[in-house]
Amino acid sequence: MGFFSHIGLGFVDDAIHGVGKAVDNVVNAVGKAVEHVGNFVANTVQAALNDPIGTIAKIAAIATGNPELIPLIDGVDTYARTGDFGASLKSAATSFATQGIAEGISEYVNAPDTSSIFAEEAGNTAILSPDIANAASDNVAALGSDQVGALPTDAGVTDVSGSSPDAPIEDRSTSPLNTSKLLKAAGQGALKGATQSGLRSLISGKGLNLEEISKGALSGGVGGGTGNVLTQYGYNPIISGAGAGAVGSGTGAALHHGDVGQALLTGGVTGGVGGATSMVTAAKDANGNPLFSPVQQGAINGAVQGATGALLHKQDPITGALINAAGGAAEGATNDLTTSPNANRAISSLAGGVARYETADLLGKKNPQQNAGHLPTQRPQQAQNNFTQQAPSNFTQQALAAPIATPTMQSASPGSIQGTFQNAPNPLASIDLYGLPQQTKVSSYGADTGISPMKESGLSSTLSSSTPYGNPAPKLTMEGVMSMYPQLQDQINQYPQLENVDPRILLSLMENGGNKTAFYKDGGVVAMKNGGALPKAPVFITGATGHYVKGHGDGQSDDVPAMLADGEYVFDADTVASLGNGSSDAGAKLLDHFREALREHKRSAPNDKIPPPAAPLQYMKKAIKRHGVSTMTKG
Amino acid sequence: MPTDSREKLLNSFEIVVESLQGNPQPHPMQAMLAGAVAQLTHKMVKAKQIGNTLFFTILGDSSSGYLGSYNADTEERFVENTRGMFIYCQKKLKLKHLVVDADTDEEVRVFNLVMQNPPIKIHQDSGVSSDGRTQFVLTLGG
Repeated sequence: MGFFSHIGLGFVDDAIHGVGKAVDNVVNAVGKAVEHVGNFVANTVQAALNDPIGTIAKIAAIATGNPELIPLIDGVDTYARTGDFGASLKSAATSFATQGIAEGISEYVNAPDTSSIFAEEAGNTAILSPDIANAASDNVAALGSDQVGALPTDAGVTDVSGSSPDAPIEDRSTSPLNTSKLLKAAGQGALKGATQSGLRSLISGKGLNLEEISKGALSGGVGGGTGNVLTQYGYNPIISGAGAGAVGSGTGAALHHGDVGQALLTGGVTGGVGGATSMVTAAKDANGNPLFSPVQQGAINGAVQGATGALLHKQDPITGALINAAGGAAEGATNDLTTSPNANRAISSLAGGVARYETADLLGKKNPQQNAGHLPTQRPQQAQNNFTQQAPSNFTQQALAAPIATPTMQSASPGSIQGTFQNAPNPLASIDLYGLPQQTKVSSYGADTGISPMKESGLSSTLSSSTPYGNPAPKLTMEGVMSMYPQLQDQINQYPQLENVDPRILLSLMENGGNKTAFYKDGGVVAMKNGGALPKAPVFITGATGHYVKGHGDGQSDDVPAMLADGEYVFDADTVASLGNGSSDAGAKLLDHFREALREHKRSAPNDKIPPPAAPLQYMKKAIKRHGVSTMTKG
Repeated sequence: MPTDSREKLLNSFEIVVESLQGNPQPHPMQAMLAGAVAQLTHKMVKAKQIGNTLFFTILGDSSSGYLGSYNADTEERFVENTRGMFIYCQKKLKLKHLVVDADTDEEVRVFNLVMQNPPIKIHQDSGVSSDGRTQFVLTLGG
C-alpha cells in the first residue's frame, strides 16, 4: 500500500525497523486504522468480484458527503452497469459540473456533524452484503469507543468528510440538514436550469446568452435547494413541491423583473399539485407493490399538471390534460426500457415529447410550422417519475433517497425543478405546453417571469413555436439536416468538404433532390445525370470549400459539381498546372498567394480613402516570393 | 498518461481510473473501482483532491494518519500537490503525524523530491518494513 494509487489491501507494518519507539507508536496507532480500512476494502473488492453492480450500488448508497467524490461515485456506477468507459466519463463529467455549483452553494449551509461516525457505521452498513456489513461492524468493535474520541475533530474540515452520518430513519424535524443531498439537489437544479436556458438561447437564435444561463442556474438551484430542504425537514410532497415551485418561480421572476407575486402563486399552486399527484400515484398496496404502473403514473401526473397549468394560463384544461397525459404515459412507459439513467431520460423525453406533439396534432392544436426544430425534452414531472422509478442500481439517486424511505422523497428536488420551470405564467410557454396557439405575439422569452419558458414542456415546444409568431427561426444545423436526410451522410463520407457547407444550402439541395422534379426555373440545384433520389451535391463551393477544386475525374471531365457566384472567374486545370510548372497543387498555391497579396494591397487603405490602384505585377511578385523561389525559378 | 492540472483539471473518477490504469492491479477494473469507492468514502478516511491528485488520509488515533494518493498529475505537479496536502493535513485535519508508504524506488525518489523543499517544518523518520517496503513517519510542525 504505497503512496501511489493503491487500494488498501495491506496495512502499515508495525514491525518497522530502524524507527524509534515514539515513531513506532505512531505506526502502531495508524496501523490499526489502516488495517481496518484495508479489510473493509478487501471485502468490498471480493464482493465486487462476485457481484460488481450490486456491490457498487450498496457501497455508494452510504458513500455520500464529499462533493469531490460525487464524480467518482457516478462514474463508477455507470461503469459497473454498462462497462462503457465513455459513458462513465460523461457521467463523471456531468457530476463534476454539478459539483462546482454545489460547492459554491455550500458556503451558505452548515456541514453535517461527523463526530459520531463510528456509532452509526454499523447501522448504515446494514444494507450491505454480509461480508461488507461484517467488516463495518468490525470497524466499530475493533476500534472501540475510546478511539472515537481520539479522532481529530472535524472543525474546519467540512469539505473533506468522507461520508455523512445519515441514519436510515430519523426525525428530520430535529436533525441537521444533510448537506450532501441539499447541495446535490441544488446543483442538479442549477445545472438543469443553466442547461435549459443555454439551449433555449441557442435554439432561439440568440446565441449563448450567459446572463440567461446564470439566471436559469440560480433559479433552478434555489428551487432545487428549497425543495430538498423542505423534504429533509419532513414536509410532505405537497408542501415541498409548492414551496419549491413558488420560490423557484419567484426567483426567476425577480431576476427577469417579472411579476413576482404571480410567479409565486402559479409556481406554488402547480408545484403543490404536482407533489400531491405524485404522492397519490406512488401509493402502494398492502404488499408493497405500486398501485399504478409507470405508464399510469405518468399519464395521471401529466393530466393533472396539464390541466392545472392550462387553467392557470386560461387555457382549455381538457386539452392540456390530454396532451400531457399522453406525454406522461409515453415517458413512464419508457422508464423500464433501459437501465441507464441517462439513456432512460433521453428516451423517455423523446417519447414523451413526440407523444405530446402527436396528441396535440390529433386534437388539431398543433401548428404545422412547429414541426421544424421540434426537440422534445423531459418534463420535470416525469423527471420526478424517472427519479423514483429507476432501477435501484442507480446508486447515486439511491444514496439521495436512502435516508428518507418514505414517499416524501418523491417530490424532493425534481418537484422543485418542476415548480421552477413549469408554473410561471408566460404566453409563449402556454402555447407549447398545452398545444394552444395564442394570438399574442411574443417578442422575447421571459417577458413576464423569465423562467416560464423553461417550464415543463419548455424546450419541447417553445423552440419551435417562436417561428409563427415572428421570432427568429431556429438555427438550422448540420445535425438537423442530417436528421431529416440521413442519406446525406453518404455524400459527406464521399465528399468530406461538404461538412463545411452552410446547412441551409445542404437542406436546399436535399429538398430539391428528392422525389420531386426540380427545374432551373425554380432556382436552386437540379439533380444531374446521376439522377435518383439524391441530387449531385456540390463538391466545390467557392470559399466554403476553398478555392482549389479537388474531386473526381480529370482536368477536362467536368465531373465536379460546383456552386459558383456571379462575377467569379474559374481557371481550367491545364492553366493552373502550367502556372505550377506542371503541378496543379503548386499552381493553385501560387494563385492563392496572388489573391492574398491582392487583397492585402487593396484593403490597405484607411476607411476614408479609396483603395490604391491595382498592381498586378507586384501581386504576382509577392506571390512568387511567398511561394518560394526554388519551385518557381529553379524548376 | 499524466495530465498536467495546470492545463486540465480532471474529476475524481478520471483521476482514479487513470491512476489504476497506470499501475498493475490484481483484479478487474470494476472490482478495483468498487474498492476505491469503498476506501475513499470510508468513514475513517478523509479525501481531498489537489490538482489531479486525489489524496486520502486514513485517520488513526493520537492525531495521526496514513497518507496515500491516486495520482494522475505530472511528476512536477504531484510534488507540488503533495506539499499542499501536507499543509492541509496539518492546518485542516489537525494531524501531527503522518505515515507514508513507498513500495518502489520511484516512489521513494518522488517522496524525497517533496521533502527537499517541505512547505512546513517536518521531521522525518524512515524505516523498512518486514516485507521490504520503505515507510516514512512524518512529524508535521516538528
